[in-house]
Amino acid sequence: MVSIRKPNPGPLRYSAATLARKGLSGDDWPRVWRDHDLKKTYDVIIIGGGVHGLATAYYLATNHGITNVAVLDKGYLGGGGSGRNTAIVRSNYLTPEGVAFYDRSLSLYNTMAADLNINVMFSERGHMTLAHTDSALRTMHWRAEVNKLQGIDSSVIDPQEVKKLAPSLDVTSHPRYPILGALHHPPGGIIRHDAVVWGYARGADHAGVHLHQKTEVLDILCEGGELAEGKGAGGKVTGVRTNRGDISAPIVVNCTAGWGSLISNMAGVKLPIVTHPLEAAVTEPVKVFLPAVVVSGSLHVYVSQTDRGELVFGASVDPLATYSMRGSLSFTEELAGHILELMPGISKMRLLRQWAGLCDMTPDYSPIMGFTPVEGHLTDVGWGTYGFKAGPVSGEQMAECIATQQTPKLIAPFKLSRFETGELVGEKGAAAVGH
Amino acid sequence: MLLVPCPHCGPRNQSDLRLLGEAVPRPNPNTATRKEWGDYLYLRENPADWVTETWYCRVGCRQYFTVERHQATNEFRNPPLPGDKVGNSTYTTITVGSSGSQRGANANSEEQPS
Amino acid sequence: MTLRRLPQQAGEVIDRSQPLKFTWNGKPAVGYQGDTIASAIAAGGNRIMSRSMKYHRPRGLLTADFWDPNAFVQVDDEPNVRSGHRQLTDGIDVSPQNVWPSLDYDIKAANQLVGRFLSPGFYYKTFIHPQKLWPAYEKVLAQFAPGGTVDYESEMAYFDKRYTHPDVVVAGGGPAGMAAAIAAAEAGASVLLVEHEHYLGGHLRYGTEEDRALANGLEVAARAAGVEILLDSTVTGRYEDNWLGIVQRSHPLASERLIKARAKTLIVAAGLIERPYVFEGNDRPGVMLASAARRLINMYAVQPGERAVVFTANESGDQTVADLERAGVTVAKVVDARAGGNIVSTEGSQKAIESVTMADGTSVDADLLITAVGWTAPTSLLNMSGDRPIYDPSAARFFPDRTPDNVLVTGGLAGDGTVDQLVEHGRETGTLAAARAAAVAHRLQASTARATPVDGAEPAMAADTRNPLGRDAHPELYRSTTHGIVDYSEDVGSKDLVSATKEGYDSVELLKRYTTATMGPAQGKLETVNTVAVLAEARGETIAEVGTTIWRPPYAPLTLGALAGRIFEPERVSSVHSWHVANGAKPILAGQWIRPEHYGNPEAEVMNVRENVGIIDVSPLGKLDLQGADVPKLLNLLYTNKWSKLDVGAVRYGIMCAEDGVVMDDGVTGRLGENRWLMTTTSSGAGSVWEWAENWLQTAHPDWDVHITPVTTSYTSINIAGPKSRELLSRLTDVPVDADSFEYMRVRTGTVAGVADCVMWRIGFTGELSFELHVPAGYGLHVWEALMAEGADLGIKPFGLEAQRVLRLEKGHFIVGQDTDGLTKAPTTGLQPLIKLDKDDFAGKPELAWAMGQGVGDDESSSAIDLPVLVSVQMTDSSIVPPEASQIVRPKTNEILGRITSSRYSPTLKASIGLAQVPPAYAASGTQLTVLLTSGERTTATVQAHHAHFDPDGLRLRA
Repeated sequence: MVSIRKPNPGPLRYSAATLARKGLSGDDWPRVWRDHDLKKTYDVIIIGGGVHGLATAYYLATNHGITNVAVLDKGYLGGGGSGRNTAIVRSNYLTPEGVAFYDRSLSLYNTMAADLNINVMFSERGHMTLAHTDSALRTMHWRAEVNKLQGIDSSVIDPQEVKKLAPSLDVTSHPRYPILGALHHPPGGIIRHDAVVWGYARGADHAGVHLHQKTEVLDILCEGGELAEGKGAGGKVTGVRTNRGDISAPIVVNCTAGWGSLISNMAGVKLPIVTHPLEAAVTEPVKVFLPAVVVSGSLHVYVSQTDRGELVFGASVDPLATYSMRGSLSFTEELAGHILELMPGISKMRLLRQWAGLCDMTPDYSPIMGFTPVEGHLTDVGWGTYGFKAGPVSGEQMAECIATQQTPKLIAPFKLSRFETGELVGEKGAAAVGH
Repeated sequence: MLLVPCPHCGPRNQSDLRLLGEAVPRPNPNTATRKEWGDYLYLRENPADWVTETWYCRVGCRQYFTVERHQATNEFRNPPLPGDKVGNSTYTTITVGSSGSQRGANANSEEQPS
Repeated sequence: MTLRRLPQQAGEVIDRSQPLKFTWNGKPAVGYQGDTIASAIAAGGNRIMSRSMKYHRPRGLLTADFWDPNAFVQVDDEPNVRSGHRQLTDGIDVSPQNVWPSLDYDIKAANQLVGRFLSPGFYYKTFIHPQKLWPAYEKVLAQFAPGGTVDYESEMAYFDKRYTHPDVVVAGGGPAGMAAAIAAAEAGASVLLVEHEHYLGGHLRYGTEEDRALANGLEVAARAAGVEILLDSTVTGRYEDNWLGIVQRSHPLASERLIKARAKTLIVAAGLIERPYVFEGNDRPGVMLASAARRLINMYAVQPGERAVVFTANESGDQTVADLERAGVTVAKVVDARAGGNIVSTEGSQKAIESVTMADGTSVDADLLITAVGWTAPTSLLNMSGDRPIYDPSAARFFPDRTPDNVLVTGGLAGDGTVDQLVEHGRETGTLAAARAAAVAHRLQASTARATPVDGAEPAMAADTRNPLGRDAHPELYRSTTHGIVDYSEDVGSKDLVSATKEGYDSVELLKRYTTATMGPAQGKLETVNTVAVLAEARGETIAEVGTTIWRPPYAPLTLGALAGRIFEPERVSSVHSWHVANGAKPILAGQWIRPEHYGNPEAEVMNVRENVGIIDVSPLGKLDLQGADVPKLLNLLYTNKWSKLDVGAVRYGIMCAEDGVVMDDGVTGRLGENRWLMTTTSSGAGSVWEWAENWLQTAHPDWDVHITPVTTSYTSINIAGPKSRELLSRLTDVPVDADSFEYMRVRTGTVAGVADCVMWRIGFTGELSFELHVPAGYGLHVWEALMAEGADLGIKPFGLEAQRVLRLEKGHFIVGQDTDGLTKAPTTGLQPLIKLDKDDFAGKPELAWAMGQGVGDDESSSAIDLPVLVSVQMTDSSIVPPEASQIVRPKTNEILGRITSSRYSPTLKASIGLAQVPPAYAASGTQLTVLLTSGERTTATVQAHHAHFDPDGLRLRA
């Protein structure tokens, strides 16, 4: 594993002392990141200014000394899935490859505040996945056993322990969805997702990376490929065309999540991805009563309460494949019905806001990372509903992949070619037996 | 809640139907290469543009039909008429999944909440 | 300084003959029927309603309506009640929120002293080291969470839902909205008028006598025109194709009701929301919007103060001056923004204003400051319709740009005018909406094949020929020369916004996320435009250049209960269910079905099947009736094995794969007649296999003659198993059941216990001689009881799901979804002989060929992947039954090799048995496996030669 060198902290470190000085002097804080003109050439262009793109840039600069890097985003930093997710992190996956990968991510999250010198408010409050049927309970045991063998703190607990960890759950003789137990994962929790984006952006900026907001990629420029304009297999990347002009670069990385198909298509690379919206919602704040993250697979709902007192809800992806990010009424109806199955006592809490993000769903619920048939075009997409929690490790591994031009072991299972050889990752296996 | 143009039942709430995804032609199972079969199972155009897709009117007439929808605006066009052939012997994404996908996109995410 | 109730006046909405008692802040209080909670509290002389979220500053009424950020209260067990809107009821206990320990004295107000350090992003910049301590800090911070307290042990209240399909929905019952509703109804449309407040009339309701008369007239006309009126209700969201969510808060039975409307046209007449002004001391109690003062005085007869300064930029402010004077308030000074006047600050204690300072440096003593600086256009429903409203600096607000044909805008959102002009615009809008609704209705009906045909061509969408409303000039007043609060709910000030902008959070979205401005309960209704204005100022740009955030649903918060409604979660039971309950069955949930897990002693149930005879209710088994000449073709396509030669009277087992070769379902299909088959599927696959089969038929082979009818619940299915099952069945049926007449894997139809048209097949999931009956469901209970009675002397006992699991495991049968998973391909289940690659086509064929090491077509490559194989195992120690999902590991390294998918103690064999998935290298008979138990201990297991632990040759079931 690559060791993390401390980033150049920039002109001003965040601490209680600097806060106090600023408070007394009333001076402005220095800019958290800077604006730049587009250069004609970069060594690496990263498309997508979310957690994945920014982390990749950050680790390229800090772990590998590659700083002539541009991150391009058509909107503002963290405006896609990074700012729309429900900020849950965990590593209790089903497959050994999944567990190893997400565990690395969790450990990076654990030291992130110090590494990036920003409080990302990682609240390691425990994560519970409820089981309502004996088959779900069997899957929980399966996950717990796989987790334990990989050194992950994960176990199946009984309804009384569930009640202790989340007293608002109804564990009594529930008529329809009894709580038979839960997979408990103490290291899981929630984190301030925007702070993660800003932390990586600030770190990357200080290390010399150029962050370009409102810079939309209109095309990826290629030569030598089998398709028109030199795109496609056998070709190589020469740069990108943006709304602010052309830039040349030998390496163009796709970190655009829900828009991943569109971007790689610009290089003539088709991906096994379908874009679905994932919706979320928050309630008005109330005094904190829910100390853990609670998930119910059968009821397709997850919930946590922020330190501000809002309940944050998420569910599974919408069945409609679309790039439209409008929320739906049916989502909030189903969500509320399901959450009240679990916590009937909160029926008078009010839903304050709903939103949607885009998820790049792959057939096996695992990402597509690394090289493609077009030289210089790499992907870090296919993140489905679990991209945020994988942000740090993805950035670290993609940076290594770019710097060494070798696929790191941790992401080898996620290669694009697996869909031609049938070597799918088994995370979806959990889905099939979860019922 | 989209109104989906079922050729038999007329416009129906989206929740009355199931979207199976882009209509993809099925290769000849006796001659397909691994790549062709893999593409059929997994590869999708996924454009922010018009796409021809298959729906199943599960609460109404229980018929499958294909229709064009714009994946950015969700508008439909060229709704089929009763008796129209379903996608000219193209086949659909329901085939790709194991038992999970049979139960709709929601069921797929059983163990994959964020 | 006092607030007090005024003498009775015309237009007030309170009923002084009906006093209501309640408690406020622990003390008894009184109000009247018609009061809001806030107006009653204010009438009682209370100026402070709450304390602010971050600094715990005392706060008084600001808008005195639904959006008032300072008026959230706890009412009994209900948190965050909007006291400016909620009507007072008798006996409620009302308490302030965000106070600790009390409203008057709040320790956390000490936060104000350190306010200069609580800069935006404060939390991000501190508590970094040591990271271990953050959880401790977090616990303290969580104490500061705003809002009320939820009693999660309370019962779920009653909520309900309704569907409606009106031609026209009008969101907003002000003068324009009412006029639109009337005109649409008069044009023949069915109209639903939704008003957020408790009264129709909008701003007319707190206006002059003429205003009220006009509102009353319109209301009478609306009712006469047949408009359905919903008061205290809000259109919360506009979704695709005009799918609307409407929350009805005042409902006689339900706490709240969600109405879902598919409107052919939507008229948005939401009016305007008065905007606060940003200046130093703008959150001191006594600073109030003009509309708030007018509501308090004219509707609730509450005098809002004694000595007022009015800062006005419009007619609404001017009218407030008259209202104040009529209410006996001294108007010490009117500062007119149109004449260049401005205010810069208030002074006074934390709890009240004492004076107001103007831009010219003069100061005036006052206990009340009224501001009338303009309006925010609540364009939420337009945003949700795809519109991006445009800022007009001369009118100082946003206006709609382009809405879809089926969304129209009227009233203050559309422009300005006299009340008559607004009413006229509303009428034109209503007429247009009705015409467009007719066109939409025609299109919907014409595109529905089964509906009554509609005559004529589709009418064109009526053109918009309305006379547009004008736009009154209004000064742009957002922030004075001083800094003040922008977001009252979040305690975010303009200084914070400027500082965050300079730090680089300089787009609306970044600024919002960094400072949390607009993220609170008002969701930007009051503070969004001020936020944008401050950002624009800091960037040196115009408001139009900066743009605004997109308002997301819901327009107004609604309860989780309303969204959930009455929770309907279906449960399914068989026709024998009552018998199971009466006979002590322990219920277990299997999908939607409630089934008997056992009747007290599953082990005894197993032994009774092995020794005597048992019956099990297997009704949830999926059943499909297949008819037509081409059924064998369909079966050949769905199953991996061959079906062409299945003769009448035969049954066969098969497995189905998806196109990726993964096992999807399995079951038995029998041929009942020349053109009739009965297929069974797994219980959970009943629906999906049907849809799967229909998919193939409709999309790939529409020419085939096959008709499928799902008959799962048409039959009650009963399995009779055990050596004495033949004897039992023979006593009840006219069908010869002797071994020669009714062989293994054959099907017969006939009468059982007097019930005709029963299907019987001889199969053996349990490994015993057994017959599965499919009895017309209406007679299921009768047949079950007849079997029990007739089998009494044979030792018959019912058995449940648990015994069946043991029996099938002893026999080595796998369960799809338990012993297989999302990657299990058919060849690895031990059933390779059932995969017939010489068939022309079947689902998943190429994948299975590759998995079995054969090429397809020109592609000679075989599967390179070591797929796990399903094997039977026996534990070395018969007293240890490893829990299902126990991992099989490499002994030294603990590397995962596979897992136990099923395990039970076998009472028949007195052994601990199971099925397991292991790599091919570990699948050979006799291989020793290391099994890790949940406890961390290990045990060993041995791979068996056959899947069947019991009677591998099948002698018993063929008996």
